[in-house]
Amino acid sequence: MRWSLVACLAALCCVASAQASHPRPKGATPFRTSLVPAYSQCTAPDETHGPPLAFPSCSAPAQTSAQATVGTPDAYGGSPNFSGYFRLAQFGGVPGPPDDQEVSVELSVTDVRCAPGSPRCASPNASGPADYAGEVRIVWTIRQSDHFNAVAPGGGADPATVQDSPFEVTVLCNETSSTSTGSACSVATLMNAIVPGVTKEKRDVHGIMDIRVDDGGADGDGDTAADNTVFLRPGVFIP
Amino acid sequence: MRILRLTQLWMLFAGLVALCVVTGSAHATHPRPKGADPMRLSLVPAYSQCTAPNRTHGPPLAFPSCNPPAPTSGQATVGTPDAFGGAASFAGYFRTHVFVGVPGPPEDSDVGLYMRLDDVRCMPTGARCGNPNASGPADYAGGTHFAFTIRITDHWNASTPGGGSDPATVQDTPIGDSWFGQSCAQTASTSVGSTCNMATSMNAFIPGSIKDTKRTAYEIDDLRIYDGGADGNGDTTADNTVFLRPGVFIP
Repeated sequence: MRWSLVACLAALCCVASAQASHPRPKGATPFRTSLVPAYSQCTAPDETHGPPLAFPSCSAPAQTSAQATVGTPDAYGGSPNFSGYFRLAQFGGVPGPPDDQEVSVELSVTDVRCAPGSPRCASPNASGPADYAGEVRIVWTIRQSDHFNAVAPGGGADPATVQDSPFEVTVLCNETSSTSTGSACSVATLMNAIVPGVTKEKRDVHGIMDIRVDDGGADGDGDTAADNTVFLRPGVFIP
Repeated sequence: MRILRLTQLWMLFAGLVALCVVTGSAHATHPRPKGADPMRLSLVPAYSQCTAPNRTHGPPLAFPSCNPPAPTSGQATVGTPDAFGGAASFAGYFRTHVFVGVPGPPEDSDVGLYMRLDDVRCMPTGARCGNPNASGPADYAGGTHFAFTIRITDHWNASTPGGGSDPATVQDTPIGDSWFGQSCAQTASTSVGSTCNMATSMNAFIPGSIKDTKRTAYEIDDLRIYDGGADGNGDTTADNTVFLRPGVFIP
């Protein structure tokens, strides 16, 4: 009898542990980051940065993208007109069915030029590289902690942290008729439009890491990721 | 004689070309944007990476998952009715804003850094519990400390220390190891935890770090907001643990 009671209590503890919830915010939105051209990591320094951040540096900065760049008078030419941002915003959602929680996804990148020597050069410009012809692919890593897990596949009510997984959206770049502006790569969509059913009312703490915008590679196709290279990363620019 | 002069002229020409190439390479500049600003990153509680899964997430993101979720902070948390108790009132963000200075002395460009955290509670098993609340954990009594990694590409480099006009990419630099400690303020309310607010700038924390006309692209990665550790001091970083990371919350 006593052992049965102990077993019952142990089982209850196990259930309680499985159902234990996770601390979460009242809200966390919007998330917006500006974007800057990505450069290769400095691994064999040959110079030193000025003080106070007097760290080793690598001369001749090397863009990581082999296909896309931005106009710059004293680099490849053209005006420095590039700007870009990535934004996520949660909205809506009345508790109960249907699952109407949403997260909007916006990427706006303007004046994208082809890297000289790239096969992705299209409409020429009066100065600087031609318009970039191809797609870009925004990629970020998510770490979800929510209430939509179970021991068996199919989902359930258990709280858990999901293994880090990538989330990707391919965006077509449109060449411009202007001879002073490069291509525009923009999208305004919803996470549920990208992956139907991805946002549910499950107390989803959605950690975001490792954001990058890749070019489309030599084939210009963002979905064939093997030849894509990193074009942009989050950052700020101080003129 | 004539042949010798021609040879010398060719050598002189070749030398000048080589000099131009070397100089051009040292001063070759870097593609850069018209502008890149602001960043406004909403913050969520940080959880440990799932490495030994014992659950599966529901579709469509049916990946392995770890029960229970493990917050990475040993000292700070947020109110949640079905976790440690208290209302779910936490909200926080980290924001940057570039101030473009007037070219020439004084150096008046800067990057503003702003952080706001409302309703920060102590982890019940931690050492930093302050004013008690009617429900949920007490106010967090301690500091926070933020950190990120930057990859600088600019025109403030030289082959000798002291700075120069060469464009270069700097080795990835962790920002915040010893610079960005902040204190949190407990509240008199018994329903709201501490607030941790900051409004400062890069030049305030690291004088002279932001300069005019250096065409500085700062790639920013891996933002983390730490608690102050068992001693509550954000500046003594060895015992600090990650409290918040960028993210969104879908209720």
